[in-house]
This record gives sequence, structure tokens and C-alpha cells, in this order.
Amino acid sequence: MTKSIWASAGALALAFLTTQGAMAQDAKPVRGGILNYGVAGGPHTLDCHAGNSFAVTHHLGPHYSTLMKTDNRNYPNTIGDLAKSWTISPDHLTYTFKLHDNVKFHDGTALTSEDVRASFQRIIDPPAGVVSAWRSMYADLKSVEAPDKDTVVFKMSAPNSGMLSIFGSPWACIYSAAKLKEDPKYPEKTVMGTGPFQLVEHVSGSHWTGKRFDGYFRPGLPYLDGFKAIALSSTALINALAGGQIDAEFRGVTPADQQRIQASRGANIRFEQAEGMGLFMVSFNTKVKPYDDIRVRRALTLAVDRWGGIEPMSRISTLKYVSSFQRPGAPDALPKAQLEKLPGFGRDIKAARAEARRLLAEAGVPNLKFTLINRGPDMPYAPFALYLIDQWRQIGVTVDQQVVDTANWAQRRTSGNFSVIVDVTGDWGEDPSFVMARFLSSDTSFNNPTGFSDPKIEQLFQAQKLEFDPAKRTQAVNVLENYIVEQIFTMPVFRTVRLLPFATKVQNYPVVPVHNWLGDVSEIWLKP
Amino acid sequence: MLTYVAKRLLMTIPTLLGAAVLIFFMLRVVPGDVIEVKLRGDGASVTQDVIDAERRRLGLDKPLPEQFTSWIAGLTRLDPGLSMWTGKPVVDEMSVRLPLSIQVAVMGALIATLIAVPMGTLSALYRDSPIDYLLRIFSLVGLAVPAFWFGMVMILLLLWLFNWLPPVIYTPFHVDPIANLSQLIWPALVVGIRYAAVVARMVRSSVIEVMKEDYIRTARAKGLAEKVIIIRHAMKNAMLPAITVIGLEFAFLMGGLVVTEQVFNLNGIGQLFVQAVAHRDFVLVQNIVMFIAAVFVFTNLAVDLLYAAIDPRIRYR
Repeated sequence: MTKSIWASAGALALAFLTTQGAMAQDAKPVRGGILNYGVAGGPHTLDCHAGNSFAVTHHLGPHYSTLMKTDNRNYPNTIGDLAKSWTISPDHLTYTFKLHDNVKFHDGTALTSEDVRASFQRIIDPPAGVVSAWRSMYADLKSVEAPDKDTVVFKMSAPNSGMLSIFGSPWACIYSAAKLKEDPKYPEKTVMGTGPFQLVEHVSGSHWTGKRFDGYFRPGLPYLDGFKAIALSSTALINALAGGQIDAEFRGVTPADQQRIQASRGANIRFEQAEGMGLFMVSFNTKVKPYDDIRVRRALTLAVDRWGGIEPMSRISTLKYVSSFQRPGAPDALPKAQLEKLPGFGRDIKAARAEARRLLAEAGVPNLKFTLINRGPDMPYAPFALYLIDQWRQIGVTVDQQVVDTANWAQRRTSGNFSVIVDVTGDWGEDPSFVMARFLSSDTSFNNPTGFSDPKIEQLFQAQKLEFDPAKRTQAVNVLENYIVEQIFTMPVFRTVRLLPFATKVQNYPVVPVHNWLGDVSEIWLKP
Repeated sequence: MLTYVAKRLLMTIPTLLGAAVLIFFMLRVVPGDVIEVKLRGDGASVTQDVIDAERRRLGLDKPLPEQFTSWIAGLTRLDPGLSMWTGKPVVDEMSVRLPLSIQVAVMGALIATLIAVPMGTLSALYRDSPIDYLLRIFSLVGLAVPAFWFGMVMILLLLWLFNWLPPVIYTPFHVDPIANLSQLIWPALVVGIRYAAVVARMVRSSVIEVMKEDYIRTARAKGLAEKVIIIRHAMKNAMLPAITVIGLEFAFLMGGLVVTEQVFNLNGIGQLFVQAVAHRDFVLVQNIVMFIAAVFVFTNLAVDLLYAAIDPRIRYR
């Protein structure tokens, strides 16, 4: 009883504080102060072009600019960062960008179009020894030119309706062309960009500090004097938030952590949330019997009560939404009515399970048994797998769970050493050409581990990629998504929430779904 | 004595080499590698050619004997190589963390010795009395309670009672002693109390043994005060086995603070080791294990030499 009173009081306080937080966003920004935030992991590289995890962007993000960027106030629109304006040729094969003319690197040298050209050239055609983790994303890019010091021209080999947002990738940091000429690997050793903060110190495994760059090209920004990113283990991060040692964390916490932190910090903390980009799925190895039989895969997706499970799941984990491949709130997401017609997303679980049993019997595996490979021990992999196992038990399927660490999981996933595996995406952007690319046939997409191939998927993918009319493109994306969900080589189940804690003094950080991008730290300010 | 030391030092070579062979080949049978975790752990769209190029760059495509000899050759030149995860020199990665781990180990050892020696002695002198039972319960609890649990309880208590937590960033003692101690005293207490439980049991049984010796009876017959008998005659001899335990536990602390460092978020060697294993940073893991093996070997040697200093009957040849 006491517990429930406290819980209700906490919820009311939370609602109040969230509103207060939102109201404070409109107040007049104040200059100064240091933002201390936690990061659960250190960067494995100092080179954005080689990075792929939040641990890289949450450290490097404040030091670099990109050509374009996602608009966190009007998400998921793309706006210019270094680009002041841009034009796209009618055939969508030429993108011309005009750059801001007052941009300086942290060493005082002026940025020119050559720096942008050299940086993109490094991504699409990396010199020997340079890792370009996102090269494949720019496959449609033919060349980059710098006809004058303020203009960059990108020539495409094929049109791509998602290209503008791809230019806003947080990994496409702009480096100094002169320094790249001296040493193409300099970004691995030196952090020197045109971003709002200069690097002061990096103590491996401990902390990373930045100070305001007075030559930053956006007038009056950044508001903060500096920031300190503190490396913390997942448990220590929650303790540090509860103890007030850090002011924020930008990846997200669980509802249980939220309660603990709230109980400790009271009015000094607020939480804001958005639909997350983490999609939890199950992938089947379609080269292994009986998962080569679509009836078996269909039975396994039909058995999972997504709508019934999400509410209890959201109380104990970061999983909060029933979702297909596109985020439910994304511009091109399947309409709910259409989604509910897809296998596994229906509301009548009794009928779905009866159908699942019939399909398994028809496929000759009424008492199917298998081992589910799960990635552990991080949240929310464990509750997700346990829920699935229970759901499958209800149609007579027996599942053993094998929990392996990330290295083992990644190796098994890419080598096809599994029958059924818990799978996840955590994309940095919303454009369907990017989000859906990993679900192309296995012989086309190196990121589809299921061995499933169907040329129709490529045709539908190309159709949406070549469609520039927004309404028609949404239709084309819906057709593609519908088709992929129907093939059930990978079954989407639940999506995460991005629940961010902020000390109440932290202002002006609109929460967006993507956790792999830090967002615009230059606009954060601290209430005195 | 010098010959003995030289012999012992020579013996360390095959010991460390054996450890090197074991750790190198055992790591290679563990599934997964650093490239997969780095470039595909978060499900990024990295093509196979990028993976292959990175594998080549790190030398993971070379035959295992070649990788092994190249590592050992590097060690003989005091160049353990680069971390496969961060690309930084292993020496840099370890030297950032070493002062913290050494300080916690030294503080833990001091706390343990300060608690264990009087506790074990009292327990032995008042054998089977309520004091003995009480101290034995303390040492049993110390042994039974896992360090991580004790650490978590300590953190929660600090938060609950004082709404305060130890600093999360390490400050060297010479820079700011208060900040340094307010961070490290808690983990040192956690490991020190468990360590004290182990040592106290050893001190107790040694003192009981020694107090039965003829020379103690002789000392009593000579009319020496009990205090003098205990301090001058009993303790000196009873300390020999305790020193072995203290030494071994110290070596264990240097590499075994894995859990405590996790709980208190200490940027030490133990935490680095856990991260290196998770990342499959073979080079870093190999070198940390070699470092810990070397600490064990040299601590043992130091303990043996200390024996000779304490007990004049012991002479090494």
C-alpha cells in the first residue's frame, strides 16, 4: 500500500517535473557552466569515419561539424550544418552545397570546400589502412568536387531519395584537408574539427573534457563553457545519476532505474522520452531446417502476443512499443490498421496461436525444439528472450536459451552459426533507404544474417529509393515493409523507449529517437 | 643469497613463458574477435572487405605461431604492442590505471594487516572465550560475504544515509589527498575487510601453534612478562605464515580487483581486464595477464626474501 502511494506520488511528481522541464525550455538561455554527463563505454576510435556506436558519437560529437544534420527540433528533417544552402538537380544526380563562410577549425585555419571534399573522399574511397565503416551507405555517390572555396558538388551514379539525410550522418565528420594530406590517419590520433567544443583532455577509461571553442561559426554558441563526459559502467551510471555526480545521460535508462533515480534526486531531476531506435527482433537461419519452411517461421511469429506483452514488458525494461521495421512514429511507418493485418501483429492471439499450431503440425514439427541464441547480459535482452520463450511454449514449442557475450553473438550472427537468434538494430537515422537496407536479400545485404534471398525485395527497395514524391514514397516503403514482414526471415517484435534523465538545471535538449547521435550540445544551457 | 635470487629470477622466465603460451592460445579458442565487436557489435552496415582489411591491419590473418612470436619478441623489447580496441599503446592503457590499482591494493593490505594481526592474536590468546568466538564470527562473515555485495551495500548506505557517493574520477594522492582518499577508502575497506578475515585466521592458528613451543615455556619460566613473551618471542615467529598469506593476497589484489572496481567504477587494471575480455582485445588481455603473473612471481620472491630477514635461521643458497 505504502509502495503504491509512493509510486503514485512519484508519477505525479514526474509528470509535474517533466512539464516544468518543458516550460523551462522557453526561458532565456544563460551562458556558462560545465555539463557533466555519463557514457556507458569509451570510444574505440577517435575517427568518426570508423565509428559506429553511441560511445564514439557521445564523445566526438561536440568537436565536429557535419555537412548536414538532423534537425532535433523538427525531427527527422535534415538541415544544414556547415551547409548554408543547397540545390538538387532535377534528375537528382547532382547535389550542390554552399558552405558558411566563417567556419574555422580549432587550430584557427579556415574551412573551405576542399575540407568537405577530402573528408567525403576519405569515406567513399579510404586510403590504405583507413577504416571507413559507412562506405556502403554512400554507394550511389560517384564523385565529390570543390569548384570554389565555398561550393561542394556531389555527383551521384544513381538517384537516392534518402541521400540528403545520409549527408547528415553523424559519422561524416569534416576533417582538415591539409592535415589529411600530411597523414590520412590523423583523425585516429587528434581530435580537431570545427565543432562547438575543443578537446582538453582524454583519460582513457575515465573521462573526456571539452571547452568552448570561441571561434565556433554559429554566433553566440555554445552556451556552455565546457563539458565532461565521464566513463561509467551501467550500474555506476545509475548510481552517479542518483547521487547527483552527473547531470545527464544520453543513451537512456530503464523505468526501474528512473524510479530509483527519482526517489533519490526528487525535484532535482526530470525525465524526457521519445520512441527509441532500438528494434528487438528474432532472425531465423533460413538455410537450416525447419526454418527454411515459411510455415514454421509464420507459426513462430504468430505465437508471440505483442500487444498483450508490451505493457508488462515496458514496466521492467526499455521495451515500450510494438513495432515493425520502421519506428511507429516515423513519417513512412506502416499505418496501425495495416500493421495489425500482418502475421504476428494481429489482436486475436487465440486464433493466431491455433493457426500457429496447425502450421507446425502441417510442417511436420508439432513439438519443435530449438536453441535461441541471445546476447547478454545487457538490458533488455534477458526479459525479451524470456518473454519469447514463454510465448512459444504456449504453442508446444520448447526453447533453450543460450546467452553469449557481444563478441560471440556478433560472430555467430555474421557467420550464420545459429538457427534462431535474438537480433537488434539501432539505426542512426530514419530514412527508409537506410533503415530497410539491412533487410535486403542476404546475397545483397551483408547485414542480413538469415540466408534469405528474394529478388522482389530488391525491386521494391529500388522502387522506394527512386521515388521522390513524399506521399508516393511512403506508399512504396509500406509495400516494401509489408512484403518483408510477410517473408518472416526476421520477425520484428518490440521497440525501445529512449528515456533520458536530466538534472533540472539542464535546458534546451530536445529528445529525439536516435541514441547513436548526441544531438546539438552547443544549444544546451544550464539554469543557474 | 645472491645466487638464490639469481636462480629465482631465472626461474621466472619459463614460468612467465608458460603463462604466455597458455593465455595466448586459450584466448584464440574463445569465439568472436575484436573486429566483429568493434565494427558489427552495434549492427552497423560494415562490409566484409572492411572487416577483412581491419583484420589484416591488426595482424589477425597471420598464422598463430607468427602472432605469438611477434608478441613475445615485442615483450623482450619492452614493447607489448597496441591495444586492438583503442589503437593506443598497451603501456599507456595500463599506466593510466596502474596507480589506482596499486593504491587500492596497498591500502587494502594495510587495512587488512591492521585489523588481522591484533584480531588473530587476541583470538588465539583468548582461545575458546567469547572474544575468540566473536572474532571468529567476524572472520567467517568476512570470508563468506562476497566483495561485490559488500561494495554495493556500502554504496547504497552512503547514498541513503548521507545522500553522497564517492567521486567517480580518480585524483592522484599528491594532487588532492582528500579527493583521493574519499574515492579510494571505500573500496580499500571492502577488500581490506575480506583480506583481514583470511589473514586473521592464519595469524590465529600460527599464534596458537607458537604459544605451545618450548621456547615460550622457557621464557615464561625465566619470569618474562606475558606482553614481552607475546610481542618479542611469539609474534615474530607467528608472523612467518601470515606474511605468505599477506603477500599472496596482495598479488591477488593487484589483478583481482575486477569486481570491486566494477562496483565502485574505478578505472583500474581489473576493470580494464574485464573490458578487454569483452572486446576480445587479445593483445591487451595477454599483457594484463602477463603483468599479473609477473606480480605473483615477484611478490613470492619478495616474501621469501622477507622470511630470511625476519627469521635468522632461514638462509638461502
